[in-house]
Amino acid sequence: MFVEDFKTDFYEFLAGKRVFLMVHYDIDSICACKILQSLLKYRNILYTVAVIQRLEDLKRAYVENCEDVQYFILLNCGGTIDIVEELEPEEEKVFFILDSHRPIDVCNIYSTDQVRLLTRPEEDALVPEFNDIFRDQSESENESDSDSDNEGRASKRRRLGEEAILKRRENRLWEENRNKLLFEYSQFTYYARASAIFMFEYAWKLNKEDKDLLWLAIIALTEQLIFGKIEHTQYILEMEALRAHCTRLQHKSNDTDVLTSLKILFEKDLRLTLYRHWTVEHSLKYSMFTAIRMKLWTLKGDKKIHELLADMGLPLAQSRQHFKSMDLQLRKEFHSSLEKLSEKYGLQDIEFTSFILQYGYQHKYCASDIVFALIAILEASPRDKKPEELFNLALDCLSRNKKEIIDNAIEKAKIVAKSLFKTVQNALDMKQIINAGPFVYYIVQEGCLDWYMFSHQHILLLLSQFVLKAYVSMSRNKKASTLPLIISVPKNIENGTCILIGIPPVCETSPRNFFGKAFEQAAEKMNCEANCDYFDTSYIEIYSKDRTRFFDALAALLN
Amino acid sequence: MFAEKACSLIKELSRCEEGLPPYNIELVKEVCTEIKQLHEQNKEDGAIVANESEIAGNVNPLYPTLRIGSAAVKRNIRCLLAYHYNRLRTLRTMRWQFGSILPPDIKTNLSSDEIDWFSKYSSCLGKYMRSIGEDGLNLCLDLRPPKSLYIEVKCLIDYGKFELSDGTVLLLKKDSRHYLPRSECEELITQGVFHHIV
Amino acid sequence: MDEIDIESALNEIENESDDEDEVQISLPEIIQLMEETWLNEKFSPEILPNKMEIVELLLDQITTLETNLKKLNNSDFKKGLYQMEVDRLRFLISSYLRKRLEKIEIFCTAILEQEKLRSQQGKDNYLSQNELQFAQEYDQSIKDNFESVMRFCPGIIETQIISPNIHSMVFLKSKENIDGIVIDDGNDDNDLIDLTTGAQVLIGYKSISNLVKNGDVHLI
Repeated sequence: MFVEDFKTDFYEFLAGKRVFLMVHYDIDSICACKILQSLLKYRNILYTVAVIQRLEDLKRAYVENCEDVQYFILLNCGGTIDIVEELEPEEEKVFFILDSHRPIDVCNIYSTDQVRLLTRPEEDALVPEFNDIFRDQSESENESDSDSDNEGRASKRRRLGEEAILKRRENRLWEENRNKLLFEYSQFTYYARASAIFMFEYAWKLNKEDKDLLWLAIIALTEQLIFGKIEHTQYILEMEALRAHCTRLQHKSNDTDVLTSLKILFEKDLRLTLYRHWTVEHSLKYSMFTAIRMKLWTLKGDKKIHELLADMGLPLAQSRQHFKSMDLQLRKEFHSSLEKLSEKYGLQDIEFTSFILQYGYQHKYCASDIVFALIAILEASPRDKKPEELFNLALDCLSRNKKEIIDNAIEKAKIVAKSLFKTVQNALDMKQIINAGPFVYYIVQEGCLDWYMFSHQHILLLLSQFVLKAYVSMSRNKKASTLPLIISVPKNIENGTCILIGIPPVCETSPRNFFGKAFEQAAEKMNCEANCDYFDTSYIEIYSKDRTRFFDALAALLN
Repeated sequence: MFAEKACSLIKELSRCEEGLPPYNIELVKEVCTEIKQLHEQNKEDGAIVANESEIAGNVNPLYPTLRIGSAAVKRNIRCLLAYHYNRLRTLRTMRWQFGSILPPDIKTNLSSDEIDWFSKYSSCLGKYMRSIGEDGLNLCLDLRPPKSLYIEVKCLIDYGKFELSDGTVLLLKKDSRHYLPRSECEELITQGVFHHIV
Repeated sequence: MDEIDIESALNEIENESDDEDEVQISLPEIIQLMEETWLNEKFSPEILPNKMEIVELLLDQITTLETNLKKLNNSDFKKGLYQMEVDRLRFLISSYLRKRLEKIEIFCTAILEQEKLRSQQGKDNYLSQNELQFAQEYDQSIKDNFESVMRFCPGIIETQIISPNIHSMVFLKSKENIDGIVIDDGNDDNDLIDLTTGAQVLIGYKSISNLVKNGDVHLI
């Protein structure tokens, strides 16, 4: 069921109760969690936060705490699975779910009381009608346990009378229709609007929003853009809405002291990774956008950078300095001169609109800087750090007075950008991106220096986008842009498993991903042990030894 | 030079701003021996000066030696006592921080006398706190003026189950975050189970 | 905000407890007194006469308050406010008693001697019975420790008595009109000052220690 009125059915409802927050391990969830925390604090609602990476974590956290807690809030996890079936909760437990993963499991949508969704599916989602997928069991099957779902219940048959045959036929048709509807509904996995934006709007409706919370919503939106989780048009729509909030909040506050006031500025940003905190040369070289447009992994590309810098009138020595230490004049003109030359070097759309947070004189970051910093904390930290620790660190990174943590994380993010670039360059040079017919694949070998970093979801996603775009730009195959990509990275070397990610082809404008279903079916077909307990189903974990067979099965399936 | 060792005792203590350095039994012993020797020496010298009373006290050639000796003894004793007294004061602060049971790593740094003193202090403080009001008042709580009723804390160790006064049970795992009534957390914060997130 | 809240919150409690209590004093008044006592103790360099009767009165009230609070619903908005108030009161008491203990510990020997003098002169003791006991035990424990340190060479121990610096400067606010306070700054040519009600001055503690003790002024 859906929560109709956030205030009475959720916020007021939870007052005086203790809740358990299960938060998925990603940036949007962290932002949403922070907004929710501030809302809960206003009402003195006690809470406990647990970090969830996979279904397994969700189950464990539930089992550990179900004795003591009655209300669970799930952020960006649990929406896509049938909560009641997976957790087998007692009747009085209540789950509130805010999940940007799609599609939402129909059982959650039609749950009567236990599962309460804080978001509605998008209007264009083909949610099957209740009657088309659920039927009174006793009517069709005469079975006693009426609450189990109605798959494969056709085994026990009684006498086949004339009537029964008719009924069977009807049943079969109904079931076919049901399967078709369900398949249509669930064939793509994709992301909806960021949970943090939902949370921010709830905070707004409760009159408890402020600039800090707005900034969190902005970060979440920027994250969706950077990782290509949403279409660009959607980004623009959401951004305009947040911009309106920004202007309103800016007028509302009367804090004008530069030192203490928090300012969120609406500004054009460049698709250059961290350029404000790096040298121009490095940022140009290691950003995915410029690297692909100018084919920077080639010798020719390298020369092109220098050409561009010369055209811009930026001395080489300056471009190798930290951006902040460049001459003021050059720094001011950097943006406009790059824009002027963008057409000549094929860098159209290098600009996008974004926000900058300014707090005092020292603290000035744009939204994408923070996203890269956060992802570096979450996914590129040393192996001995536990996810909970990193989660806490990421939360700290979002608070205003922890500049040190942000700066450290930005340094780490540079390393991530560099190794992404080098890995792609390597893959192209060694011709490791292989065409398997209906798709291309690339396998990160165990010996690869950065395999551990790439075994994390979001960095892997960046890598896959980078690899696919680079492949397409280099390939002579005209069809290259219609091919999807699969990357395999070792996950757990001791157990010999690897994580696969599949992304749609470059020609698709929509980030909707069909690999979820495809992986599931391929694994089913070849009957191999696969671990698909990621909430984003475009990832799957299998044993490395099964990988070749798995690819064969996939190829057969996609042909 | 006289009293140099005693002085280094003090320096050693003041270098260690937080926590206690190990009880430096060797140096303490050496200082004690020095005091004893000086004291004996002074006594002898004093006796001689007294004997030679025909020479007026302040012209006696031994007189400056005697004065320096006695000053050195005094200084030594001051340093020695200061060393011990300040250690006790640190211990006292620790009683307020950690409660009546000392962490083992600190306990190893103490002399047996200090351990005795700690338990004495602890019991005498405990007795006092029990005597306030009808059923006592734990003065180790409410150390800071309350700002808000609830605070956010991070759990630093795997603690297990923890029951609040209203009967709710929490599972405290390492690195989990909780939002709890301040009064319930205070003790766990001083014990180092929780870290208060500001 | 404090006073108003607590007043309305506690009317019922007062009605209950007023009959039993022989001291006719309302809770806001007790709190007022406690706050003043706490501030005095906090800022005066030496230990002041104990006010255990106020502490005990307030403690009783806190207990009643807490039992009443338990009856309130968890989600009640008011509960948070009252709980906060109770926490503040408890802090007030704890902090007051802690401050006294600190002074007792540091100036232990000096205080004990003064107390002895006072009881010989038949004056009221500054320390409460329990505090006195604590002070004696503490003093003894320190002395024991020193003696065991000096065990090797008995008889030459000489401790320094630490006493408070009663000449330190304090801020105060006068509650009455007071004339002719002698400013005792160690010189012979003593100046006089007059205080009107509500006047605030910075002055050497020694000159006004008596006024603090009898409650004509309070430290801020």
